[in-house]
Amino acid sequence: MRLSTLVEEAARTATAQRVSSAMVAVLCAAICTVTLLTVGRTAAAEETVLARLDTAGSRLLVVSDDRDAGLVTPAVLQVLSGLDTVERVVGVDTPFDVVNGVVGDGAERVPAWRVAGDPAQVVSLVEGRWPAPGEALVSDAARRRLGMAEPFGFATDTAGVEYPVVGAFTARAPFEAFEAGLVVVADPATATDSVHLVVTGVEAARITEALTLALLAPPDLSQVSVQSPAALADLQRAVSGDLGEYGRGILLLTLGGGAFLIAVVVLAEVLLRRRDLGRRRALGASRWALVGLMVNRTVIAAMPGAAVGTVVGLVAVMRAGDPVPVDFAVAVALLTVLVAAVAAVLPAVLAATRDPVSVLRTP
Amino acid sequence: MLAVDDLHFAYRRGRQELFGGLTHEFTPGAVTGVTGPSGRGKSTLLYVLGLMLRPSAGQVRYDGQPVHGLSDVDRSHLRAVQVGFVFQDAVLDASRSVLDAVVEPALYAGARRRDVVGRARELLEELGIEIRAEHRPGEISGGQAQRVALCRALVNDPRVVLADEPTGNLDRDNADVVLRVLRRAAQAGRTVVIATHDPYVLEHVDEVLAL
Repeated sequence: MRLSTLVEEAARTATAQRVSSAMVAVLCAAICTVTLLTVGRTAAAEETVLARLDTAGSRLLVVSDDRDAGLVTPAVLQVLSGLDTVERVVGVDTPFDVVNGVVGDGAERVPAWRVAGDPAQVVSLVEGRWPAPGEALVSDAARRRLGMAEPFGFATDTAGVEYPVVGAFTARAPFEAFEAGLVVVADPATATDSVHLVVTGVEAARITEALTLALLAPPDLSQVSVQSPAALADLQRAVSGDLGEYGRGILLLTLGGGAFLIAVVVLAEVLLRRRDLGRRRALGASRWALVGLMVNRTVIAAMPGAAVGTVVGLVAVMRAGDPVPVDFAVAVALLTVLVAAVAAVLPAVLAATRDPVSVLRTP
Repeated sequence: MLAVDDLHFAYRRGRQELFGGLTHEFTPGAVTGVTGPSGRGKSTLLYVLGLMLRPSAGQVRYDGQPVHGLSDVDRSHLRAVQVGFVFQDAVLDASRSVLDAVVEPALYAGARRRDVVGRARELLEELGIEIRAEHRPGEISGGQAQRVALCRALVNDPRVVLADEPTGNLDRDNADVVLRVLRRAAQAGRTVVIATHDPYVLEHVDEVLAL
C-alpha cells in the first residue's frame, strides 16, 4: 500500500467515522487547552520572573578597592572589557561634591563620579559633546540644582579643582544613581576605587567575580569588597527549577491522562469494528498497513482538535493576562498530536494481530 | 495454479485436525465447489487457500511455489493482488460508499485510488449497480450488496476467487446473478472456489471437492 494512499484512506476513514474522530479531536483540544491554561501560564510566569531577574540592575557586579591600593588600573579594565561574560565595564571613584563654579562656595552641592573607561558605557549623551579627561557631563536634575541654564560651564570641587561641563546626559541602567549629579571622565592613567561590571547574565556572575578578583590580585581579600548578583543566579536557578518541575509534572499528568483516554477511544473503536478490520486483512491489508491506517486516522482526527484547543487556550490565557509564547503553544499542539499517535499504536497493533477469520465467519 | 499438498489444519495444537492430508489441484477456468458437513472446514479451507490461515502441516502452492511460509507482508500482498474474497454477507463498511468498497482491495495492492475508480465503475455497471456507486451499504439491498462484494473481489483482476457461502443470504434470483458472475470469472481463466452446502450451488459448479 502506498504511503500517500494510506494517508488518503486514513483521512477518508476519519471523515467517515465521525463519532470516534470527534472524540479524539475533543480530547486533543482539551489536552491543549488545559496544558496552556496550566503549564503555559506557569511557563509565562517563569519567563516573567526570569526576565525580571535578568535586568541590567540584577546583573551589576561591583568590586571595590577599599584601601585605595590602586588595584583597579586601566589595564585591568581593559582586560575585563574583553571577557565574554562582561557586557560593560567601567572604573568608578567614590563620589565627591561639586558646586556650580560660577556661583562658588555656598552654592548647592551635587555629587560627581569620576569614571574610568568609555563614559558611553554608563550614560547617554543628550546634548553637547563627549567629555575629554577632566571634563564632565551633567544630568538635567543636577543642572537645575546647580542653577545652570544650559549644560555648559564648569563645576568646582571642595579643593577648588574645576571641571568643565561640556554636555548633558541621561544615565543608562543600572547606573541611574548618576542622575543625581555629574560624570567626570577620569585621567586614563589613574586607578579608580572600584570596578563596575554589567555581566551578560546572572549565571555569569560567579565566574566573572572570580576572574575579576584574580585580575585585581589583592594581597589580602579583606582589601576588597564585592557586591555580586551571584545569589540572584542561585535564586534564578531555584525559581526556574521549581516552576519547571511543577510545569513538567502538570504536563506529564495532562498528556498521560489524555493519552490514556485517546487509547481507550481507539481501543473501543477497534473492538467495535472488528469485522471492518478483518475485512481489510482479508482484502490484502498487511498488519503494518492496518497499524498505519489506525495511527494516521487518529493523527488526522487529532490535528484539528489540537489546533482548536491551542487557539482556545491561547485566547483564554491572553484574557487572563499571561501571554504564553506562541512557539510554546505550537509545541504543545505538536506534542499533543504526537501523544495521540503514540496512544493509538497499542490498540492499532492489537487490531492488526487479531485473528481476522473468526470475525468474518458467519455462523 | 492453486494447489494444496498433504494439507492439515488445527485451530489450536491438540485440537481436532481438519483436511486429513488433503492434496488437490484446483483447475484454472473451472468453478470448484467445496462441500461437506458442518465442521469439516469448508470455510477454513478457503481462508487457508487465501493465506489468512497457515496450515499446521502441508503446503499451499501458487504457480507451483509454496506460499504458506511467506511473511505477513508478502502473504498480504499476494492476497491483495491474486486473490478475490467473497463472504456470505457482503461485509461492506457501513460508513463508506459502494464505490469506496469496490476500490478498497486495489489500494492494498498498491494502486492509486484515481487509477482504479474507472475499473470499479465498469464492474458496478456490468453488475447493474453503477447507479448505487455513491450510496452507503445501508441504502442498498442484500442482493445488491453481494454484487458489490463480487465487484470488490474482481477489481484487481485476481487469478483466484474464493467465495464463502456467497449465496447463503440471497433469494434464488440474486443467487443466480452471483453464480453467473462467478461462472464468468472462471471462464476468464480464473480459479474459482466456492465453499457451500447448498445443493443448488453445487449443481452450478464444474468440480466438487467433498471434505
